[in-house]
Amino acid sequence: MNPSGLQLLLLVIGIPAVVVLVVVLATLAPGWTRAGRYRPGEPWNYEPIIINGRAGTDVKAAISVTAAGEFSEGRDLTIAKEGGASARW
Amino acid sequence: MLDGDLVDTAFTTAQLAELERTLMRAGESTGAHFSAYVGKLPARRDSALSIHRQLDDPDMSVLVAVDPESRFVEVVTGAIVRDHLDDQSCRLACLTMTSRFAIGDIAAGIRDGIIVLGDHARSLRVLHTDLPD
Repeated sequence: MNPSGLQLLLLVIGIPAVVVLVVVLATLAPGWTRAGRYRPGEPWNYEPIIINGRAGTDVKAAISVTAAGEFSEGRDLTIAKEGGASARW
Repeated sequence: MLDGDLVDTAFTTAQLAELERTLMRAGESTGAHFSAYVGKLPARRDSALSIHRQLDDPDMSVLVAVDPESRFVEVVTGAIVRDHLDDQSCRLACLTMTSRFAIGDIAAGIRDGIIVLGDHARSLRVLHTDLPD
């Protein structure tokens, strides 16, 4: 039995359209469920957090000391007793 | 350990648990203490150093400090750890982290960076086991 014009249209356009829709949904859906995820360039409106730090570490106090310019020993890595590295992105 | 209130962080509980596991594992394999800080660093390296000096044993500690808003990362190694984990390895870890940070994946970036730091510190510790040719 030959398919009618409408059936042919469904076969040729409908099935590929459904496949494309499924692929698009599979690609975009994980992003919708992670609505709160941070994106580069957005403001960081979260509390500072230290992981695996000393219990009771007062991060805010440590930061405020440097913000006030009362602590400035780390600018020259060659004379600081601490080592490490810095990077931007 | 985590400091209790996990409500106002950008990370999920699973991400925080994974980060803590990675930090602990790096610490166990190297003998150093690894910590991570995520938040504002107004004076950049000075702020990271100031936090590092608040840790239990700064000379034996490694701190990875990330400021996502200003887009920079600081790795601070203590005076003793520095002998086992050179600045070159820290730069490599920074490179690993920034490639992840650039797509907004802060937690995975820190995790990968800690793994690099742990691997490089450990490899120095086992050099004496290499047999001469």
